[in-house]
Amino acid sequence: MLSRLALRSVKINNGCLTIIRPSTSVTKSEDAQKAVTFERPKQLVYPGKVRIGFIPEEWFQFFYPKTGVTGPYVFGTSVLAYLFSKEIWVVEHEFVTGLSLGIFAVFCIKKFGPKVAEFLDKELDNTAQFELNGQTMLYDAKRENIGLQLEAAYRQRLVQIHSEVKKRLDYQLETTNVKTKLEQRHMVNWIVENVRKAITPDQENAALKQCLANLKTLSANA
Amino acid sequence: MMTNLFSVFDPSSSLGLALNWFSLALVMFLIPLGKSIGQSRGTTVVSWAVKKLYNEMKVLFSKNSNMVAVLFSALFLFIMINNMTGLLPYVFTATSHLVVTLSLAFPLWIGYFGFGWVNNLKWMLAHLMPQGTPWLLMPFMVVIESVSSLIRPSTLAVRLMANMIAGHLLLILVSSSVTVLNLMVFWGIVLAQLLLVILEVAVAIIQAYVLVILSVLYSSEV
Repeated sequence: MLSRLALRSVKINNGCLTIIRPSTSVTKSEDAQKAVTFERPKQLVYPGKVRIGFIPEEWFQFFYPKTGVTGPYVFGTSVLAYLFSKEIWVVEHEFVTGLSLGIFAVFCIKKFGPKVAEFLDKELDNTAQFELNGQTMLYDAKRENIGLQLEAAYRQRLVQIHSEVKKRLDYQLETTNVKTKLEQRHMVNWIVENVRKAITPDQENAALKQCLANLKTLSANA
Repeated sequence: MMTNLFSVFDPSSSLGLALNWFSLALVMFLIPLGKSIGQSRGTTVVSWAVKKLYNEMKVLFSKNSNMVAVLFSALFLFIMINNMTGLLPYVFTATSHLVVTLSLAFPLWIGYFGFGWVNNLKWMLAHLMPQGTPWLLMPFMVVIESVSSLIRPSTLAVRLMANMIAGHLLLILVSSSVTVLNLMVFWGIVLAQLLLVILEVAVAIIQAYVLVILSVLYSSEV
């Protein structure tokens, strides 16, 4: 279809990036001079310019070089005259209904349009603000989550350090205890051995006689 | 070509094919989506209207089952768009046929009616007698209440259909005289049509709202 894009002139592309690499050396290489254009399609913020509410401005520019200012209007009027006279567009009851509906629509848009647009823009701003607040809350939650993870890793490392240090200290304690035990056992054995060696047969006989005498006195008393 | 006064309501677009019913699908093309494309003024209108209606209706249902208000909001939007597009010239009004309105109203009514009578028999029987009726009127009140309950689907359907047909018929009657009268009274006819069109737009919205609100009311009576 005849859209405004089809008739838009090339020089409207003023936002695209153009890179031209000139040839600096005397010896020219194959790809020394290249013009690279990076063109990104732009999304329009406002609707395109129109005349009489719905006819694009580009169509009027299309007619201007050949027929001047009145060209498109004459063309439009003649097309309408052709449609009506040849009864291609029949004037019947639906036409009149459409005409009155069109008058009503134009009146409503002219009268209430700006107010409604203002209200809708406010609603859009509220929605955008609501979503923005949601984004802020999301970022805060993510930040808190990362903080919790860091805290958990830190505490786990503390526990690890504690257990490692305790392991080393326990080792030292165990070696000291084992040494002490060995010394004590050796000392006891040495003492007992020496005492046993020091007992003479006379001392043994005397101790036995004393035990027998004690037993006799105890049995006499009991 | 108008063969008779009611040829506007004929669903056949050509010999043997009833393609005019496709206007029921226009709803899908006219509601902007918003979430996938992004918010704009058009999507804000629809979302604002639906949000308002949903907030109105969800208080009429119990807290556990108030998502059914979404169904009624969708029903309102469907009927309103069909009514409004029927006002445009050469567009078929689907809601001016009993087939359409009855297939909207009857399933709603039979669902609530059948569920209520099968599950809450005592409650339904008790509500056939309004509180505070004198004992002389009691037999008649039962008959009257049961009849009014039974004709509810047909009232819902016929109300919408009759309003649409009456409005369109008036517009056609007033505007078909434009072919036989002279051009002097043309603008008088357009003025009369303008008033009728304003009435019709209001009726289109109000009738949709009435149907939905009555359905909600009938649902609360179970």
